[in-house]
Amino acid sequence: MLELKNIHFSYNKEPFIDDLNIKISNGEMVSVLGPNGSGKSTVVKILTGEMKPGHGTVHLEGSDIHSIPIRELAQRLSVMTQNAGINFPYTCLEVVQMGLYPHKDLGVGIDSKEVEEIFELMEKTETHEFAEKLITEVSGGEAQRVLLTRILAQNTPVIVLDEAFSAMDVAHRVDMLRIMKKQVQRKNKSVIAVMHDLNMAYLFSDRVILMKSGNVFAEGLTDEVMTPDNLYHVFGIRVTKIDGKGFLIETN
Amino acid sequence: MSELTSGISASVRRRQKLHITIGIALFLLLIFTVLFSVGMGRADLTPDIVSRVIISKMMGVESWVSDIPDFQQAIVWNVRVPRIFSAVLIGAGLAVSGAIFQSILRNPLADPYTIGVSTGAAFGAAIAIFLNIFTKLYLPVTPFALIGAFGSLTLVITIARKNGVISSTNLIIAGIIVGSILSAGISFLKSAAGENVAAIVHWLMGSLASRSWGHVMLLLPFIVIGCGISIQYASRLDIMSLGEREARHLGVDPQKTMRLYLLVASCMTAVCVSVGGIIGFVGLIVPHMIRFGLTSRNAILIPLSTIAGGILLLMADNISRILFNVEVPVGVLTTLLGGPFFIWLFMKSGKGRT
Repeated sequence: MLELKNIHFSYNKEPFIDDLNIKISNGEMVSVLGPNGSGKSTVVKILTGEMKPGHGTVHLEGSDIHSIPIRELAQRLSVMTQNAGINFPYTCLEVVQMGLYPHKDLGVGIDSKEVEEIFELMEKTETHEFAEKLITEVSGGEAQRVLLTRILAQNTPVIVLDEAFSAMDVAHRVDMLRIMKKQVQRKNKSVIAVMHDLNMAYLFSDRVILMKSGNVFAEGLTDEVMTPDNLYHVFGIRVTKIDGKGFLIETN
Repeated sequence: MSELTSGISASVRRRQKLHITIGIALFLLLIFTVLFSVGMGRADLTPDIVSRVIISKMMGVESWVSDIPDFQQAIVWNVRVPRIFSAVLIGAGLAVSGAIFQSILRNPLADPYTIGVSTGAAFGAAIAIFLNIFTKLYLPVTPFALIGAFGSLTLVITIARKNGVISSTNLIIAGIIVGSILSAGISFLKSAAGENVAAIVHWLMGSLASRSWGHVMLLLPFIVIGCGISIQYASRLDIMSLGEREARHLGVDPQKTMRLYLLVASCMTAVCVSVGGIIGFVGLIVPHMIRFGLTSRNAILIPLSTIAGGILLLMADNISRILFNVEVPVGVLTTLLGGPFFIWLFMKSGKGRT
């Protein structure tokens, strides 16, 4: 369980986030939605312990996230960031293997059983087809799938995804979300995903946090929060909701 | 496991074997080059004399070489061998610190000189030489170069550190600023030295001529410990090369690791430059070639860079001392040959794979 309490945060002394409270339980997938600049990435940085809020606390399973050593934190919480551009020619397989790093002792190599597990994960995400290709040479969507596979290899109870699906084609986006959902349902993990795709968020989330200019505009069960009215207030667009299926966006 | 996956795992194994084979081949080539180099030189010494001198010195048996004149023994043991060891150690040190700087600065085109440590060393050396010209103090150049290197490193880190955090971008910027100022300082000393400028210029060009056992003993601990640490923590370096945020998320403390490697790589660079002057391109080309030709994994990249760097600088030094009538400083040679080679490599790789 990840809990943010009374978070206040300022950029250059200008208050940006004002009394934010978020609670994410085990076994649920929570999406964070909101327009650009509404504070989604800031929230990600706060809830992963990267940034310290001016006020308030972040607790992971009851302990203050800033008191957890970096290595231990990486065993309990994994993060896929936006634009995790890799400049160096590692193979996709090597990138996925790095997910094991927090669990390995220094100088210990990867044994054959672990290699097999990595291959299984890569088959699941269909990244095995380009396992030997360089991460610098695959497409943006493929690279995102590789990084998501690394998240699976890191195998943490809490997973934070910051626009992890943005460059994927629609079929792979659905596949990867299904895989993440299974992690939630079968392994009782928590997934927090910042997303832009309203339909995907609607179809896969248990709960939704709707953000607007640094604050939570609405929060709760997906169906209750994702209403045409709320979406209009946050995004300024008119949508038609088809219950249980998704949204049609009206362009005029 | 599917057919495709077992195909991949077979190819991964093949690649591991290839890396090991290349490692062994390079190591044998290094030993061969060292032996070959001792035999080469202006003084005509037979392989018999060379091998007997080396073996007797190493085993401490003087009687084996009683028939060889002292000056021939001295050429082998006090001139050629330390120079060759210096070349191998400096080549290895520069290549490994290049690989480290590339990873911690997240820039495959970084080299040991990117953050200005070498210019600091050159400045220190220039001061010592300058004072020697005008005061007859006979200051030793190498310690001054070392002080200059560490002084500039401290300055660069102090400038780059903001709110207790050192970022790779700030390091590069601070390195460029400090480097420029010190370069201007060197130019000032050169112009103030007037007609004696040659002594400074010559040191700056980078040369391994007349390096002694003292130099080897100075290099040895730094290079051995530096390479050892980098190989031991190679996987941490892989993770660092993904960037500070990613490193954190994978359980590596980016600041601690940055500091450790900055210190290791800068110490190696400082000692190399203090002993050999500024020898360009070895620290860029060796890790770059292995990275793009073979693998980015530091667990393989660093040991291979160690050996390949040693071979490359030794070969370059052989050319510089033998091929021409007048000895060409090896630093000039490595840049003269390394530069165009790098251009070729860069253009061939195409597709923006920098």
